[in-house]
Amino acid sequence: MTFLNLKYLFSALLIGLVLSVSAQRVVMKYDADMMVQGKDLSGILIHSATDSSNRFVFVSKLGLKFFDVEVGKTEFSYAIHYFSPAFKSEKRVIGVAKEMFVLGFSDALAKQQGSKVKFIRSKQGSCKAAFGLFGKRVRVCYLDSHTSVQCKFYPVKFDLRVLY
Amino acid sequence: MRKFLFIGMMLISLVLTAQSGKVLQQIKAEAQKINTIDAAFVQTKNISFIDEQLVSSGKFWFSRPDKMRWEYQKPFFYSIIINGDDITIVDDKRESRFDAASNAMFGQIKLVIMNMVNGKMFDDPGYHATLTEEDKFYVVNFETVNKAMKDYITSIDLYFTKDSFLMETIRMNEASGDNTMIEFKNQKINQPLSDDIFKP
Repeated sequence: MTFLNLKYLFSALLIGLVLSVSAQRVVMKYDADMMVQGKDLSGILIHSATDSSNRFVFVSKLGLKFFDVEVGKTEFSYAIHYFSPAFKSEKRVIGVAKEMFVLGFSDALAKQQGSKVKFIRSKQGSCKAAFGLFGKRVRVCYLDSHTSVQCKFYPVKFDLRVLY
Repeated sequence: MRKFLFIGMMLISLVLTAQSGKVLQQIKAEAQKINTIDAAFVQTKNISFIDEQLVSSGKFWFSRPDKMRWEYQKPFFYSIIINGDDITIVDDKRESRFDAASNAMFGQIKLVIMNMVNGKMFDDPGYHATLTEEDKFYVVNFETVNKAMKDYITSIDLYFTKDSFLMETIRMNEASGDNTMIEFKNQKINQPLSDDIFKP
């Protein structure tokens, strides 16, 4: 093997290492008591975070998966990986995705992970994604795919306790 | 030549079907002899997108015909208590009560759990049972036929020890691609159980 080949091999390994570090996911597991689509659910919440997205998997304590959804960290975008047929309609599925987007900002998660709640604003001054608590409700504003600001109240309850 | 080969294969298949039918009957007969169970369990949930597993453990009690307590003790406290048609769920300090006779979902949960333990699952038309053999176990695969159930669980594998025909492991295969393994340990069969166990 020539010196040039070794140099390329070393560079490739270095790039691979950098990429694997930057794409690293942080996974946390919680004993969770949450309000999801107006229903009080108890189970295990798995939160897997990257720089750009939060992925939430909610599993009942008996082991059955309710949902697996990935949402953007700063703008509302979502990918549905799995939803239990119990949610029945697409509207409710998107509703859950929005609630998980809120959870990404929520104090409950921030406290558990030792970080501060983020308020993000767009260049125009309107909130890109913001979060404010009003009693047991949360007001969330975000830019949707048509770049209009959407604000809505959601009943929230995120009671999380770290599991092992 | 082809004719003999076909007849030979048919005979082997008939013998195997008869053998598996005999084993299934024996498993069912042994399950029907069980009046009480007192056991520990370890539950391992395998989630398709992460390498890690969710492991929980606790205690399990059953008393024929329809009493059961399924209690998770680590890493959280959660229990399901079935006493006839009364179903109580205790989650930390919160207690919720349901009536299996009037609540279809809890009625179904009760039926599945009870039928797995008391051997009635073999007669349930909602499943198609097939037998396979492993080193130490007979594995009965119950493929879900019922459409509503199939949306959640595609099949349930029950592992019975070859020496005692005792169910040692339950594996639930979900439509989502995940699976949950429940392994029973230190099983005490037909020991007297206090009625207090089946009270919240």
